[in-house]
Amino acid sequence: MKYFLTWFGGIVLGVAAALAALYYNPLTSGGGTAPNVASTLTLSYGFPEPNVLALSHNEQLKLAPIPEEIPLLWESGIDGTALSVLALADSEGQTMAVASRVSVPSLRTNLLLEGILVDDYWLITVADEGSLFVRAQSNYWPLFKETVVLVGYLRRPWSGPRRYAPTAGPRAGRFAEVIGATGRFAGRDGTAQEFLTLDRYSAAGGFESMHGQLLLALDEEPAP
Amino acid sequence: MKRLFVFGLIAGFAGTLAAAYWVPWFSYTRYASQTSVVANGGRAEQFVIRLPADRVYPLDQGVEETPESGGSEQPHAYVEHFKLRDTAGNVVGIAARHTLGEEQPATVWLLSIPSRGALMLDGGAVLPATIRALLVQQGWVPGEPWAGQLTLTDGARAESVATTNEFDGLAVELTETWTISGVSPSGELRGTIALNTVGRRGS
Repeated sequence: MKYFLTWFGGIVLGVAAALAALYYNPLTSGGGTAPNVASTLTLSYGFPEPNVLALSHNEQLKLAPIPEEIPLLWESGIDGTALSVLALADSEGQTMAVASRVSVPSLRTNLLLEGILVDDYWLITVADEGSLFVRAQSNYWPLFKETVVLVGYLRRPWSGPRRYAPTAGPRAGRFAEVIGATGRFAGRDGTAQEFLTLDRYSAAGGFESMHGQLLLALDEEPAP
Repeated sequence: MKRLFVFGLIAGFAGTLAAAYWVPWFSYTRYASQTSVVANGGRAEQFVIRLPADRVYPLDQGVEETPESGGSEQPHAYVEHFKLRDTAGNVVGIAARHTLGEEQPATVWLLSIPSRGALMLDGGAVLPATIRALLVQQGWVPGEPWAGQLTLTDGARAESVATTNEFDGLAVELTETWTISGVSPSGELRGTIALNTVGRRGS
């Protein structure tokens, strides 16, 4: 018994040390939170109010579906996926675009080297201008550990507001990829970065107030 | 005794890190692709949307609605979101469609299939105004229920502008075929939308 307890004590201490190492792991903590993209288009949204038109997932997220009666994404082929429809605003707060965002937890997720990766696919239509896609790989580990782990599990008070830069790829330099589709975006590519400011989070209410910003840098318009 | 403690410590530390690296944190049911080979190369695959069951947002989108979304403060884009099925009826993904403009509408599709990747396509689509006009020709009176059989397709093909994961490197074309079997008094359509895709390598 004494030997078992000694061995078990070693295991517990080893696991605790590894969890601490994972929590403070610089490899998964993301980059800086200052934009390093010369934005040609900046789109903003408040989450969940006032810009979320629809939000559906499998109810594992601590977010109420919007509207309440929206069908949930519970089927095993799409389990874990989240769909949000956002009215995106320009820098003056005027709604200028509508976006469909499909967020798919990535099979590449690992907590040792990458973090919690989510493949984010945006389909954005800008009023009177056209549509474009944004393909992003986002690392939500920094956001997750400071909210769900720290506040949710460890019951620490929320120390926000906090700013996050979840974009981790797929382009080098932690940029998302922009693919122009129609209108003035047709044939144009570029890069994008997303920034989140989490204003309020609580163990009971989850993500209560957040603001997002999507910065897009597009190539020059092709000559007519 | 000390050795046993150190052994436990190392095992606990290494085991946790190994789990962090190797454990598959997410997984999706991967249904067999319902594909067939096409004669001149490439593979054909059909995806199906059942109406109204697979409509995710907007919920109340009917054939009587105007092609706008979200009220006067939103851009005049017609946005729709559906669950996407394979031909065996399994829900395999999510589809989003945006249409902008009325005279010369431009339509884009985003098809996300978590276990396989995503398709981003740009091209023609069957428009609500077209459906409305054809239904009226078939005897549908707005505000009243209708039952029958109406099949329509748009000759224009949507073409992929980007693909990911399993679809990476494929040039994919998509055509929509709507088969409408009924309209409710509120204008809600009953039927299916078949999305027929043909993917070819390396173009």
